[in-house]
Amino acid sequence: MFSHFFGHYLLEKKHITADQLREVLALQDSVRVKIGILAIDAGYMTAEQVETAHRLQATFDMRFGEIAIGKGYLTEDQLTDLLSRQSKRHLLVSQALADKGIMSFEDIERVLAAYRRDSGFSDAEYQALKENDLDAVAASLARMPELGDPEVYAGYFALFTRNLVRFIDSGIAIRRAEKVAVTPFDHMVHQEMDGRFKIFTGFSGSGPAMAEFAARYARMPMDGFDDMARDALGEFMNVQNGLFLSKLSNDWVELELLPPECRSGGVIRAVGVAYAIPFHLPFGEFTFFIGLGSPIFN
Amino acid sequence: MARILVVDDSAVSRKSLKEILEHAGHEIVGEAGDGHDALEKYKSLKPDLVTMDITMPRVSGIEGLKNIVAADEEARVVMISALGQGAKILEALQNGARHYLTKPFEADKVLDAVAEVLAA
Repeated sequence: MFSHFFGHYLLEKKHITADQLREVLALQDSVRVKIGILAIDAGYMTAEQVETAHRLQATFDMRFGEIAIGKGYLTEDQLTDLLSRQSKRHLLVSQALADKGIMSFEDIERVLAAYRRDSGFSDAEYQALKENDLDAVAASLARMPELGDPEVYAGYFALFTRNLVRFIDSGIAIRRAEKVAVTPFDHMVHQEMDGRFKIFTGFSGSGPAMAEFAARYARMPMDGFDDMARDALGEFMNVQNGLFLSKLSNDWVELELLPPECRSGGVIRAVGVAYAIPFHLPFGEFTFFIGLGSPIFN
Repeated sequence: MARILVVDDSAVSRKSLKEILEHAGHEIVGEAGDGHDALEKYKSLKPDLVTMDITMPRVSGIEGLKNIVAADEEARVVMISALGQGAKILEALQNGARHYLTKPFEADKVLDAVAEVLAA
C-alpha cells in the first residue's frame, strides 16, 4: 500500500514517469508476498486451508488472519510472526527505484521526506501506512465530521477499501475526504439506503476505468461501460452495502437497500452533507461519494 | 435435476447463478429481470423452482413472490438478497418463500438450498 501512495506522489510531482512507476510497481509486485503465501512457505497452513480462508473472506468482512485463527489454521503467535515478515514491505518501492537506477539513494531520502511533509500524515498515520494497515489509513483519511458518528462513516469507507483490495486491486492510493456540494462526473454508480435515516454512497470514474473495475469484479471481460458493466458495478455496491448493513443491524439499525443506479455525464448535487474521497487504482482515477439524504442529478 | 427460473435484474448475477446451477445438472428454463416478468414466465414455463432477487426496480422480488404464490400456492421460491436485509428476508419467508440465499454466491450454499427446497 505504501508503494502505491508514494508512487502516486512521485508521479504527480513528476519525479518519475508513468512507465517508470509501472516498472517499479511490477518489480515490487514480483517480490510482494501475501500472508497466505507466507503461511504456506512457513509450513503453518496448507494450500487448501489458504484457499478456504480466501473464499470465506469474500463472504465475511474479516481479515485473512482472523479467519485463519478462527478456523484453527493459525495460532496467534504464528500470525504475529507472519505479520512481522510482511512489515518491511514499504521498503520495496525504494529498493526498486534504486535497483532500476531511476533515483539515487540521496534522491529517495529527500523525496521521502518531502512526501512525509506534503502528505500531511501524522506520525501515527505514517506509521500505519508503512505497516500496511489499510483500515487505520482509510479511517484516518476518511474523517467526515459533519456526517456524524465516525465509527459508522469512516468505518464504511474502511470497509469499501477492504472490498477494493478483496475484489478489485490491492494497488490503492487514497486522498483525504473533502466536503462537497456540487461535483461533475463522467460515469457513476450509486445506491441509497433508507430507513431510520437515509444515506447514499457511490463512486465515479472514466468509462474505461469503470469498465475495468466492473470486469475485475465480475471476473469477465467487458466491452466498455455497457449494460453488463453497469450490472457488475451495481452488484459490487450491493455486496459493499449489504456487508455494511449487516454490521449496522448488529446495532439494531435496519436500513433498506434501494436498487443501485448508474448515471453518465452529469453533476451530483448533495441535498444534505456529502463528502468525496478521490482514490487511485492502477487502471484509473476514481472518486468515492457518501452523503446524507438523496442526491440530485443534473 | 430441476427446471429453474432465475429472476434478477442483474445480468451478472443471473450468469453467476446459471453457471452454478447448470454445472450441477439443473436446467435454466428461463430468466426474468423483474417481478412482473417473473409471473408471466412462471405461468408459461411452469418451473420446478424459482430463484428471486429481492431488490429489483419496478416490481420488486417481494411483489413477484406474492404474485407467484397467489397464482400457485405450491410454488417453490428461493429468495436472493444482499447481506443485511434481515427484515426483507423475513417478509419474504412470511409470504411463502421456501428459502433464501445471500450475495455474493457460494456454490455449495446455492446447491444445498435448492436441494433442500426440492426435497421438501
